[in-house]
Amino acid sequence: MIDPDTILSMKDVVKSFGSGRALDDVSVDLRCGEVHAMIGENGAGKSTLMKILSGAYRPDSGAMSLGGSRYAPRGPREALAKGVAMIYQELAIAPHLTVEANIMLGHERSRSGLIRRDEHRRMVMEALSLLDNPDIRPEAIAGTLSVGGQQLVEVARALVTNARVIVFDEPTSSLTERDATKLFEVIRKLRGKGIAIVYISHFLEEVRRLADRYTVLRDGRAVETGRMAETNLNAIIRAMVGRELTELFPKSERRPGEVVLSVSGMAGRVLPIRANLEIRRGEILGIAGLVGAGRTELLRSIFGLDEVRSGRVLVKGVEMGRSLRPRKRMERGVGLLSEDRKGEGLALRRSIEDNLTYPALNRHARWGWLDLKGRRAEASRWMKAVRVKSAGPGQAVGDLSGGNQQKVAIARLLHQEADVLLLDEPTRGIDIGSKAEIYRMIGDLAATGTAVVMVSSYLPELMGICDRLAVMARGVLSEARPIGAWTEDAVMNVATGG
Amino acid sequence: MAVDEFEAWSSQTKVNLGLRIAARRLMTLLGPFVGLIIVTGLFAFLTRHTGSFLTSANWRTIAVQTVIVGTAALGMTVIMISGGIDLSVGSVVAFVTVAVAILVRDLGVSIPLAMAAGIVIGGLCGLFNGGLITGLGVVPFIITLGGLKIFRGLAKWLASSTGVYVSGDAKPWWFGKLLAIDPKPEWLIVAPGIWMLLGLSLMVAFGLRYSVLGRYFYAIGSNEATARLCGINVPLVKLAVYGLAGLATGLAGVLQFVYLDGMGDPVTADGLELQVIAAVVIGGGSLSGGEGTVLGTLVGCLFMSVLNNGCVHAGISNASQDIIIGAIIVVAVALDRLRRRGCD
Repeated sequence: MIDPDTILSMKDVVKSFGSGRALDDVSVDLRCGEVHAMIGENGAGKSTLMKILSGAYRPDSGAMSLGGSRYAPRGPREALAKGVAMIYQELAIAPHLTVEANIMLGHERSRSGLIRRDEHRRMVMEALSLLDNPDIRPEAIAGTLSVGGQQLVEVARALVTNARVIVFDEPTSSLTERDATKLFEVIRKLRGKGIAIVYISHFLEEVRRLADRYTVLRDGRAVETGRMAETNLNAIIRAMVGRELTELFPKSERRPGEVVLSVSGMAGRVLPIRANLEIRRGEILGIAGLVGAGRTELLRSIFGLDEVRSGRVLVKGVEMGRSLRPRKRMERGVGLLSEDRKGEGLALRRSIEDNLTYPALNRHARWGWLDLKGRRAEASRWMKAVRVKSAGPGQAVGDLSGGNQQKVAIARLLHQEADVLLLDEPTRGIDIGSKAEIYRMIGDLAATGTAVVMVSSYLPELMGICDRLAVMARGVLSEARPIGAWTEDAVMNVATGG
Repeated sequence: MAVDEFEAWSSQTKVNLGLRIAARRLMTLLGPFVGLIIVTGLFAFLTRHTGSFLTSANWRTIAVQTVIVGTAALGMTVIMISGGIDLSVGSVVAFVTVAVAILVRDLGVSIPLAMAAGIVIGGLCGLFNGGLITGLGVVPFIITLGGLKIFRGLAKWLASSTGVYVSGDAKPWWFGKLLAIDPKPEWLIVAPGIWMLLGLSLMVAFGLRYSVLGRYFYAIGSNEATARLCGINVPLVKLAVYGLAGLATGLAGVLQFVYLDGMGDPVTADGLELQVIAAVVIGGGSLSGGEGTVLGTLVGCLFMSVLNNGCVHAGISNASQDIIIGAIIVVAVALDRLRRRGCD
């Protein structure tokens, strides 16, 4: 018996790759006018499910129906034509074209080869009116919009194709709080129009606010489906990881030692505008703030990757000067974890052991020649210490899951023997199990006298593991206060300049 | 996950993943070999009546024809691994032949010394390219395109636009034997120049695998931002890349000088860079950097030589030759992309 509201249903869908089952008898119903959250760790099968919905993969067995008839798209184009639109994490926007051209991209209306501009304008205006965002004008160049704005352009693109199902894949992972709030409003409006929304996200709080129903995927199975209002976060997390996460933020025993890093009057070329901070051994200092406030730039300036206009950086009492040479900082024990794991953090095609040992490669060499065996042994040791799941040290780092990639990036800092860690969004885009492990690692490091500066857009984790917290707002870093003196509201207040 | 559970997971997946990775590596390595075998088989079939293709003399010829391209390709391999490209190879080779010839003819330098100087001149040309690339922050394609014209122009200017001949008395006894198709003594089997190329290849392969610098080349080519993040001195390493590759190009120039029987020719080796780049790419190198092996490059060079030589023996016209070679390059690279998509 099919619920009359059901627009799309997947029944007993199976998809295998090699010997592993990526999806195992998954059945999901989507109803008109609901936001349905897909929750699960990385590798749980969310993206496979998405790709089956969009026609990029064909299921091995099982059936799908859309609006009562069989649905078996042979590709994204056919899926879109049938009313199933995808909005991917990586934006599909042509930055040099106008908003209007982007929205109509791929489904232009034309008469004898010429574009029907009036028709375009009418359709675009109709779609944009629903978004209700004054920044997004049809003639604006798409590349000049914020990431959030570009995402809305993609939503508009889905609207002009009369999508009945819209799938959002991690839509807020690179949005500012404000853009995210706007996106939520839009999603609620879409829901009001009777569109079924599939919402995939790592941010459980956000899912909880937005979704009507949810399905938890684990190891390729749909382990739980229910109404959001009838559950709580702990129950969802338990379903996701298959075990109790009693202590997501383990508290470690630590005592602050001497000051190892002090930054005063730091000003970059554009950002940050003004920043002072001081951190001691065995301390975790959190830096909260909106995306674009200058937190990343601050860390990069401290590390010597970004040019600075003024400011002093002292590492263990030694002035670092203004040279753009991270090497000098690294020799004093400073290590930076990049927020952009794929673009900057790791050389994806190179092996785990290469990535792990780049900063201290000379330690495994005599006269410039490497001792590959010794290096492999040490790399294996670190991989074990941070529990990287892999086929071995020689595997390309790009083959690993996000969580394991991040563990390699962290292991690199440890191998480098850094004891002043600048961590930029260390848990972005990784599954909750890996997050818990990384929190534990950071705690343990601080307990052994490492100083950690941690930038994050995920306030609960900062509140959970930091000793002190400072907030960056429009390039200016606030004073760092003990974590007990902050509330989430107070942080947001400072961050938004209120 | 408990520790023992984790261990169990690792050992179980390790076998699967390990096999897959090994298979992939084998594919990457075998691809060019398979191509080489197919082409060889094809020409053997086409020339089955004359039988002139599959003779040891002809293969010694092919080997000699590979030496100069191969030597330059070793340098290009290193450059392309680090994410760069060098379009000035042909011009540098011509410039070096002229410079060596002028050193001998007009300045009375002995040939061995002039040949050594030729290698150094190649290295300096490389440093010139590398210096401009890192100093100006302009992409290698443009800088070396400039180099292509500049070095060619220098060669013509030095040589007054004609061949520079070295007198026969200046040539030492071994000069003509370096690239002789029938080497003396016979136990060498192939020309000494080929042994030189093989030795150099071993050195480069060893360096890429076992030296810190070699790992840095791959790091920069794979992701320059990562290299910077890891404190690698990117400009310095790039300078090393172009300098070292320049030495190889210089050696190729010296060999070209030998091949031309002691002549400096300002218009020689025109378009050599394209042949060299094609060889590297056929051998598994990538224009976007981070990939490439010495073995692959050598096979790629041999592939190109066999193709050229085979076309001649099969009586294929020069015009058709060009089209065939062009098509094969495109197919080889397209196949390579397909293989890569399989990996991602």
